[in-house]
Amino acid sequence: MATHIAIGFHQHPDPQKAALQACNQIRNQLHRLDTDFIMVFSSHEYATAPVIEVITRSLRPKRLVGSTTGGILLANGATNRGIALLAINSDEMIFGISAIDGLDNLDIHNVGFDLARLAAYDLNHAHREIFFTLSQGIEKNGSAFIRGAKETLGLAFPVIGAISSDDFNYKNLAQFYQDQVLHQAALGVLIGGSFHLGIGSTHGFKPLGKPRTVTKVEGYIIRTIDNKPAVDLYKYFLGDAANLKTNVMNSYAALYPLGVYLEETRHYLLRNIIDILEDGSIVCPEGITEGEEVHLMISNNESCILSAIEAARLAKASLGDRPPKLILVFESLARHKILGNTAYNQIQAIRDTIGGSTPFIGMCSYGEIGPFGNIKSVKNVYLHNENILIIAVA
Amino acid sequence: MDSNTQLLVFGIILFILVCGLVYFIYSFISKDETLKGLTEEHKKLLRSFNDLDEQARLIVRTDLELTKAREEMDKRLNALNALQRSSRQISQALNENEIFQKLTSNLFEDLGFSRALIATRGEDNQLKIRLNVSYKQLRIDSILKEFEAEEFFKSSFNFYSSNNTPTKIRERIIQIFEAEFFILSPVLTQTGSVGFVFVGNRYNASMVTQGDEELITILAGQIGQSIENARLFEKVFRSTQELELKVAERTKQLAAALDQVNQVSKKKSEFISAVSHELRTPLTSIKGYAAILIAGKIGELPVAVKERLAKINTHSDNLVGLINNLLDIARIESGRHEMKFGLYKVKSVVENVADLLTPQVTAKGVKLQISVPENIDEIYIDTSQAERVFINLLSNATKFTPAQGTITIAAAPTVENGFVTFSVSDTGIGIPEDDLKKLFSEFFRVDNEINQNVKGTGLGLVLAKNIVQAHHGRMWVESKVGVGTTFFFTLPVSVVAFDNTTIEKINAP
Repeated sequence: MATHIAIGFHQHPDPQKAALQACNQIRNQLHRLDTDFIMVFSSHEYATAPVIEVITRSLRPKRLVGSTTGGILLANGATNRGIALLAINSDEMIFGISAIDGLDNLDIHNVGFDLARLAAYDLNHAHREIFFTLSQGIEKNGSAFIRGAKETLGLAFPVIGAISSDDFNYKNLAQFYQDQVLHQAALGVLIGGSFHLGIGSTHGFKPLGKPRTVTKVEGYIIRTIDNKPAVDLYKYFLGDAANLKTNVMNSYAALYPLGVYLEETRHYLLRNIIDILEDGSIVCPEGITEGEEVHLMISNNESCILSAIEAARLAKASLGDRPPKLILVFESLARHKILGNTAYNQIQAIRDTIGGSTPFIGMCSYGEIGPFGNIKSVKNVYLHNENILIIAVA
Repeated sequence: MDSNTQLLVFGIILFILVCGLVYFIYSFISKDETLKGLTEEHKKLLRSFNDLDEQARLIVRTDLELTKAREEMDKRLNALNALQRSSRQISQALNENEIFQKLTSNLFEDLGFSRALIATRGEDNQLKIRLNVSYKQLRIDSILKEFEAEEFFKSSFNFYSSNNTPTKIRERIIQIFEAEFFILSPVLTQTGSVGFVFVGNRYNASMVTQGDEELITILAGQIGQSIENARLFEKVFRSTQELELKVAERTKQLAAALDQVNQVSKKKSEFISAVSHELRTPLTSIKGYAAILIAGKIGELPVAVKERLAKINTHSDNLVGLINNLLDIARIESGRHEMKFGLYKVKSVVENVADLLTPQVTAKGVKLQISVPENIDEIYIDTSQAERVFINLLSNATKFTPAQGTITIAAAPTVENGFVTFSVSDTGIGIPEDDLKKLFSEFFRVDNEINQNVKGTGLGLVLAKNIVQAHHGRMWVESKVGVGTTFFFTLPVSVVAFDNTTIEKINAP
């Protein structure tokens, strides 16, 4: 019984050459001509069909999934350009994958349900350990998606995932499924077999100022806060310094999400604003319930890194004494922006906490699906913003 | 109930009512005060909340400023790193194409620009695009045409940035390059502008900063420097190639000439060898007949005839000696002489030679000294040939050293490169400096009184030197007129030394 994990990365300006170089790195590590499972994280320049063709020809994966990202996290640093591959050959881990595209016109609850069902069908194994998704288009109703997936897999089943990201433009998002490049798609990966899993999920943001009440909501559009146009909250705090009208996620507003206190978990669930409407309404993933109290939230480098260490500690604790074989990280792109050039320090801190020589890979996302805390909290899974989700496999 | 009782009851009721009223008024006043207190507290709390919000606003604004500063610093740092990497790569480029191959679109993304164009002038003075980021090929041609047509780029092509360029030029640059925020920098070499570097962003991007301007200035400067270096390298490379061709041609000519010389030398040696051989046969007959005549085997000869015959004999001996020397030289030079190498004790070789010549030296009243260190044990020589070297040098020394003089045969105390250095020095008349250079030439004899009186062939030193060289050794001379002369020569201690000298000869200039 063995699991072999390899990571390849390259950022040659020619995407196909970069893919080939990354594949060669994988082959040199695995010493095999085919692979059981490949996960691809690439910046949008590398998200092309020829690139995927290079990977499938070179590594002959039985199952391949992947996503564009605005930030690739590797053991030796973070970058916003290139292509990274995670390859797993294992007789301990079994993979089932699924994909549903054209999410614009579909009921997200059904998408979650069907995605999990199709992945379970592909897995065809009784012992399931975790389901994760890489998606674009479920973020406006993440809780429905999670509910759907859990209806298939069980309420206490760990469901985690990440929302595809790009360079804050939202125009270059893609998902990779087998030999296809998809858009507006949800990918599901159900992993079964005999292995151990640790999860840590934190954000490191603190509430700032007095609480406000959401006074008018329509779907996921927050019309008013304290009976004033919702955007006034950001205008009050940020002034003219932040240009909220253009590219909201890349603006400074993204550094200060809204926080909703959850009694059930005693944590603040964070919500980024993803759009601002003409009338001053703001759009948040999933929206926020009318009458709910919200806070402006703030964090800094130190707090982010400390929370990452806490997440790593939680993930490692779940593994007990078992040596980790892989560290997989999904981190919010906006949170990554707060770290700036200190992103490497966070990576180093995570690796030091879990195990310095463990293979490490991760991506930056527009949303992270997971619990608060560790794997024991998987009953309450949310679509987060500004979060870091660390998965350790042993 | 009598009236008094009623009055009492009424009084009591009235009293109770008054008390109740008093209590009610008291309670009301008391509650009002509590309410007032609570209202005050509420106001305080609201004020605190508002203060907290104001503080939070201050914190956010400060945090924003810090974030902006950090982002700008990160951006600058990343750009500097990217620029440093590219600069290092292009500075190593050996030709112009290589420079632009090493500049990738990634560099410009790291510098924060989505569009970039670099063009340089070739030998035909035409602008040629060397790097393109985000422009379509069709657009590039028109950009170059429009750029070349603009008078202000022809007359004074300066550094332009969207921040500080006169409106007319700014608008024209935006029109040509389709980028609202831009930097356009000339690529300068010592001969002037050889092209341009353009970087820009479209309308919704961030403004160009002073830092961006500085970085692009550095990049354009580095490109100019690299182009200059590459052109210089190409020039030097071409010159070197021409020089190498010439050297190869000359080497070929010299090799041919050397070959000719060697062939001539070989023919000369063969000729001398043949002639000497042919001469020796009749000489032997002459000597034989002269000996018969002198011995009186044909009949007694008159004294005068005997004297003449003795001279014929002596001159024949000299001629045989000369011919033998010539033959030896020719054999050694042509490599036909077979040397019989072996290990011999240094001391015994030197002492044998000394014994041989001691009577001659002593007869002249000259002192002969031998100095051979104990640690020099054996040498690897053809003993008969090596002895000829010693004998030749000792004979010369004896010839040119006056009575009371000293001749010293010495061996150096150390072995260097597998060779022992021997010296034969005298306190004789010395050799003039001009003659020292010719001393090892065939038939050369120093023009001095002694040589005029003593006959010699001028082949002895040539032969000695050839013998030493056949041992892979060297021979040289130091002399001072009136003080004396020392001949040095080296002989090997083992066969290993032969390999060393071969290597030395190959490496020698």
